[in-house]
Amino acid sequence: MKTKALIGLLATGLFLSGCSKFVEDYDVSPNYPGEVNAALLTTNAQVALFATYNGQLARTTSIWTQQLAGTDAQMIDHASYRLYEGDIQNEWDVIYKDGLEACRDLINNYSDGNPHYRGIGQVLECMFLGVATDLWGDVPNTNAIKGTDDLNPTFDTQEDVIKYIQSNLDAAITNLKTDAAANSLTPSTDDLVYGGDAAAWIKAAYTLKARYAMRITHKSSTASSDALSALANGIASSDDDMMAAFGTKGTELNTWFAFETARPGYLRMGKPFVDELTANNDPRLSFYAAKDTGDIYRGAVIGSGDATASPIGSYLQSLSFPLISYVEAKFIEAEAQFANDKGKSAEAFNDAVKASLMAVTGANDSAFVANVASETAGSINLDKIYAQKHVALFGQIEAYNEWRKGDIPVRTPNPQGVITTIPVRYPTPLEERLYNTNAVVVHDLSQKVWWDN
Amino acid sequence: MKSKLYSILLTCLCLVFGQSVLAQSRAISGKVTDGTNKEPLPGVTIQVPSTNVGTISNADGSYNITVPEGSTTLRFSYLGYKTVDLPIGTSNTINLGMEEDVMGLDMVVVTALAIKKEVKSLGYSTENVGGDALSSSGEANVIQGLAAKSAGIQVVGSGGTPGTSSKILIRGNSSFTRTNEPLIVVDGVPIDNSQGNINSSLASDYPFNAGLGGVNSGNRALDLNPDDIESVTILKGPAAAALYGARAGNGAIIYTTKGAKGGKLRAMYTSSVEISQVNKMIELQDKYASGGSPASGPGTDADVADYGPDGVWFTDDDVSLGTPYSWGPELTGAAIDNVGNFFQNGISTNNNLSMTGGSNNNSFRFSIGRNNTSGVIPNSEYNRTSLRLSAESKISDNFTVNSSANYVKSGGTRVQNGSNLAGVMLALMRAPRDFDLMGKGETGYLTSAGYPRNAFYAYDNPFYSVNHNTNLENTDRVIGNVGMNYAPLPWLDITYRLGADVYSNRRQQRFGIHSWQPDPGPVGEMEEYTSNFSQIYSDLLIGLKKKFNADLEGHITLGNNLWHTSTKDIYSRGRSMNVPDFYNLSNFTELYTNNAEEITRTAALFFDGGLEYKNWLYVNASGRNEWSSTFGANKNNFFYPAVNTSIIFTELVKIPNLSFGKLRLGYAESGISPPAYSSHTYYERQSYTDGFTGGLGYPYLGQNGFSLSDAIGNPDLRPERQKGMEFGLDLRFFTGRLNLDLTYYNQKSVDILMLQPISASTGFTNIYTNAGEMVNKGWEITLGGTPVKAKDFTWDINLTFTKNTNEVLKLAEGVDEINIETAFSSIGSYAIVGDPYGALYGTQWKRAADGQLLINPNTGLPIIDGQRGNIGNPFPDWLMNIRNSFKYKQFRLSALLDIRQGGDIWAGTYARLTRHGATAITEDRNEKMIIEGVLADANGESTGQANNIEISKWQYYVNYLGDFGASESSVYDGSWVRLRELTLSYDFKLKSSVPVIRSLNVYATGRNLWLSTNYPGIDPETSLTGSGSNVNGFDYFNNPGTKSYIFGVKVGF
Repeated sequence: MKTKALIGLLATGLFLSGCSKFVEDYDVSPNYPGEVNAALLTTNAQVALFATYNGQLARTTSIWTQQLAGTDAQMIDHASYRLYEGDIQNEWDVIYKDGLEACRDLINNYSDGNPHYRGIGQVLECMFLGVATDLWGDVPNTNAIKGTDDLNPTFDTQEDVIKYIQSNLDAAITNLKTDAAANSLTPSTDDLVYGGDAAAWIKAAYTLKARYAMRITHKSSTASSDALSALANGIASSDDDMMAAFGTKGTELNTWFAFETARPGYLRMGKPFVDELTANNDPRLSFYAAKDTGDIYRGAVIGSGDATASPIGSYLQSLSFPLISYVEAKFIEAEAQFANDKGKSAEAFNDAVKASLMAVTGANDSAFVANVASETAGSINLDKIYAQKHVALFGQIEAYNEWRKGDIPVRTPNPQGVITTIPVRYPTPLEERLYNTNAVVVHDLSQKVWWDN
Repeated sequence: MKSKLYSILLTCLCLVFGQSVLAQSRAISGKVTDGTNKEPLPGVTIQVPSTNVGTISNADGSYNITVPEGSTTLRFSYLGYKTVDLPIGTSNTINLGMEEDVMGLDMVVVTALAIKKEVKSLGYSTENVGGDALSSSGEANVIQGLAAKSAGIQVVGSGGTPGTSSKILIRGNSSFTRTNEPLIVVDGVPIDNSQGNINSSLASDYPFNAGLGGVNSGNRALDLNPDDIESVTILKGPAAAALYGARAGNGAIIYTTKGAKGGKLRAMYTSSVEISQVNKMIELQDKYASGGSPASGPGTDADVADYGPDGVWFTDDDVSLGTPYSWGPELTGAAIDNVGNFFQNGISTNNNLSMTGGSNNNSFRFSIGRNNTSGVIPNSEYNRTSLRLSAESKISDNFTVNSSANYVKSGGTRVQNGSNLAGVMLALMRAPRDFDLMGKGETGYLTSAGYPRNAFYAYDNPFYSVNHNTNLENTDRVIGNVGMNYAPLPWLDITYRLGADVYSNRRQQRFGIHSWQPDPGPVGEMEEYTSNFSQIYSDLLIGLKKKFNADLEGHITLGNNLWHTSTKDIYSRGRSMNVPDFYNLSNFTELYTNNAEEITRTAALFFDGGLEYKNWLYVNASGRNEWSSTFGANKNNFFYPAVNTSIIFTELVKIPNLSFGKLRLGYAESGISPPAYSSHTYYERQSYTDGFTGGLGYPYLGQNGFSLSDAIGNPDLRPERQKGMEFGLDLRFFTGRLNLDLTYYNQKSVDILMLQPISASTGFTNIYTNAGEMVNKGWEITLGGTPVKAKDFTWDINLTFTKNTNEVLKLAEGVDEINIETAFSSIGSYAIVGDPYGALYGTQWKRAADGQLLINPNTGLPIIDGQRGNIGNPFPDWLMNIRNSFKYKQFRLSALLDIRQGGDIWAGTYARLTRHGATAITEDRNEKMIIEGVLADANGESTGQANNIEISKWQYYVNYLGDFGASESSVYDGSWVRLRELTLSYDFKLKSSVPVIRSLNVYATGRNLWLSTNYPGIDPETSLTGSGSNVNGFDYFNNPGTKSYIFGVKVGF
């Protein structure tokens, strides 16, 4: 009997270990790698950046500033300020789980010994944080992107986020200034924006600093001086513009172009914007807009859903799209110099408009320049700066940011709107409300963000 | 000494193919007949009870058996007849006339692991559906054939298009995001029932729910030929299915095929023809033409698409690109019936030939079946050829071998549905009544230049779609198994079973060069997808029996199970067609490809034992310890226990008129495994899209990119566990004239695997955890009776009632609601704590404290609440089926009524068409009305003042009933009463002088002939995403359901 029991135990033991061995080593996926490299993360962060600045966020903000009008389906909803917590979830997700996550992974895990990669990661990080805070106000930063270590990231105040952007850009600039030889890996073709050119990144970083310095003019007395000192090292010509790059294949298309092809009739030019361009004989009109069904340039009356008006023109649908540009830098300079030296302000303003004409139309227009871009210390004022900046930044989220700050141009809310003012922020996304116990939830689209007050 | 040696050898599990040496056996023979009509009974099992000594009677009823010394009884058992124990006396000849078992008390059912058990001894509820019931339903899909045939199940078909999937739920939903479908087993070997890549026309990295638009492919059990099925056993809860461990958390459906039958060569030929038609359609208005828009209302000019004389769109001579709206002026001519012109009568033919034969020791069954179906949608078809061979061989007295092989070739042309521009319903229903989609002649849907005439340029003309946006599918599948049974000793039985399920599923999706479905526009596209699946399954069962004394006997089965599953998928897509209508990847400019593999392995040790006391008390217990490669890396094995008891209390107390009464009680745990590869976090190639465009992805300007996946892996994953308790009563009155089976169950699912959503600001949007809890409680009642039983006429009634109440008890810490699967932005499918699973989740109206609608004082329209919430439960309150069967001489008439109470459906199609001014309800569009409600002030609070702002009815249709309004207004009650089956058949009584033909039966069946429901859309039994998805209750341009008329004949040779 004892032998029987012993053999029984032996057999059971064999069986148990056999069963366990049978299933071992089948738990690692053959489909996805466990580790990558800095180049792959950099490309990924940049593609996420293009999607963020060129995609749905820009469409909605352009509708709200009435550069465009929503004329069908969901674009009518956005034009009527029917934008709810479930409608911008995707954009928020891309900023955080794709953009910021890739940037921080790059900075923390894949850039030891590669300060250029780290610097690029930090600049991209600031661009994601920047668009997030501009549109949503208080957003997670310090405790964000920590995975299981912090499943309920607290929301930093907008003031703190902007401070972080400034200090992080300083760190980026330091990293980018290191010698190329100090890097074991340097970015090249994986850097879709500048091809690995550290000097260009440094200039872009400085101009970005200037953007966020001037963002807080209502809140900071040193805004202008901070901006001017940053601009001194910033982008100095259109050749150094930070542009989103697109291609001709299905996965690389400029999303304005893809949208117009897949959803034609959803968007048209906005009447207030087109009227202003027409009144000034602005040569950019024929690039910003295409002709309507009656062969003229005509914007849709806001709230009319008029799909016969002018569709978007060739400018927005090209193979590149500005993220940080010389044109913007000049306008920042004009605004920053205004309190200081109106002469320099007027000069910067004129340069800005001319640069914009060149960037959009590829040519000069002396009549227009004589009319609009010939300001002097005596004639320049902030309203003119805001008005022309608005025209120059057509289709960019930045135009909405500056319109909120300066309140120029003056716009009348859509009479079909479900709220009585044009929204000045986005609602807190649905999944932050549902799953982040520390989320600061705002549903009221008329509640201004901190720097807008 | 020898027995000790045998024991040791056995413990090491070496199969000993030796003769069992027994002392002084005895040869007994005799003849078994039917006691009433004296006809010989072949195939009767004669055995010595509590041993494995047995034999089967021959074709003429005679038998021979060698019984060991000391055997006292010989047991005779045969399906449909009462089991009899006869004493073995001095005589070596024992004859028996058997008595019919009217109440079916001695019935044997196949339970988990193909272990046969007497129904008497089971402490849990099982349901048996006969193969005839399955094939008489006329359904080609063996899952759909089970609809309304059993208590406790809910079958949801996806519409009448051929080859689509049917989903079956047993006792509600037990999981949030893992599968809720039961394990499908054929002859003891599980087979794959997946729906494959839900929608193969999109890359596997498509970020949104691919099921929402595209092709609804069939579930793989569709490959089984219903004509091959002998019976189906439904194991409903953990008590029944626990032996299958972590794949049986949702129960199991055991299909037993018709087996080899020895004797004279016999053949059976069945042939049927089925004609189908659409059974319910949305009512459209026929008064108003194209024009206008939801934003601005009715317009005065019609806007009919016309590409001008050149027949090419986007050229200067275009008159109009058309409109999807029907808010135009009154029609000048008759309304064009595009819907009527499009749908056709579907025709299906089904032919089956089967043959059985053999000697006493070797028998076989061979069958060949062919199903050809063309659907109500033009150019949609499904074909299936099935060849099956089963053989059984008795090699010696105690050693039998059986095997079967089934080869299936199936496939066809599938149809698009749902939210895509190539969906036939979308383009068909949105076309205004002054636009003729069909045109004249065979290519009337094309212009002279070959462009599709679209009512609105971006919606592919449905005639164009069915001809040019085809989805071709082809599957080759082999299901085979081989088994041996060796019983060397009276108390020992060894069974080994090895099964394989191998298939190759290939799909090709084409988009014509003028189709708007591909991104970014009409460029032409094709997709090739191949999935190679293989599964090897091995069961070793060692059965031991012991008779302790005259009253108590016991048995135990010990076993080992090994399971290996492997799936290899490859997907390729070509975009931008060069030579039109040439579908080879070389003809496309942009190519994209990806592949995926998944291998999972499971190993288990289990036992299944029971005690039987004096024929009225049965106690059973089982346990399975399972190792799996998909459990977390830190602990990879888990144990599933089960215990149940069956008490036949009528053996103890006599209750007048109660011929048989049984009490059942059981408790068990079964599980659901985590998905493969969830214990680590990996890097993935991302894509960025917003649902409007194809978005950005890789390769991007010649570069590749990766970042960490959205889901954090978890090395500590455990299986989901279903803990089920069930209590039942099986009562038979008046010797079986009235039967009542009642079950109450309470099944709690714990540790439910969730891709627990976390906020994106953590850098991820999900983490795999075991966090959820859910409970299903319910009643299953089956009532059967024979009100009239006369010489020539019988009337049977069978009624089943199912009520399942589901409640989500717990989600993750601090989480009250989660998204089950990505859905539309306006409507989702959610699990919400305190509500039933699968809640329809969407926008709602803002209401005052007393529930009245708040009305915007500027517009006169109600206000949408910013926060979404629970707006409906898509699962039924209860289900009832009533079958009436009449038999008069050779005529049989049977009617099956299927009643569903409850089950909300989001009528997306109806709401969108109402917004477009296409539905019949929008006919009185210009009249004025006031929406009932109370006016709101500038802050959105109630002023208390009743709404007095007049609006035009079209605004109400667009902004309230239509889908510009809150989604809650688009949810309707999907209750129904339907006549699911009506069958009339006649059995010819052939004289024995007729040569060759032994039996002849002709029948006519109507399927789904009558439907009564208040649901405004298509047939409410519909599913947008099909069986592979947990989303229920969405109707968004789903393809319609059908009714059909079947005529058939069965000839026996």
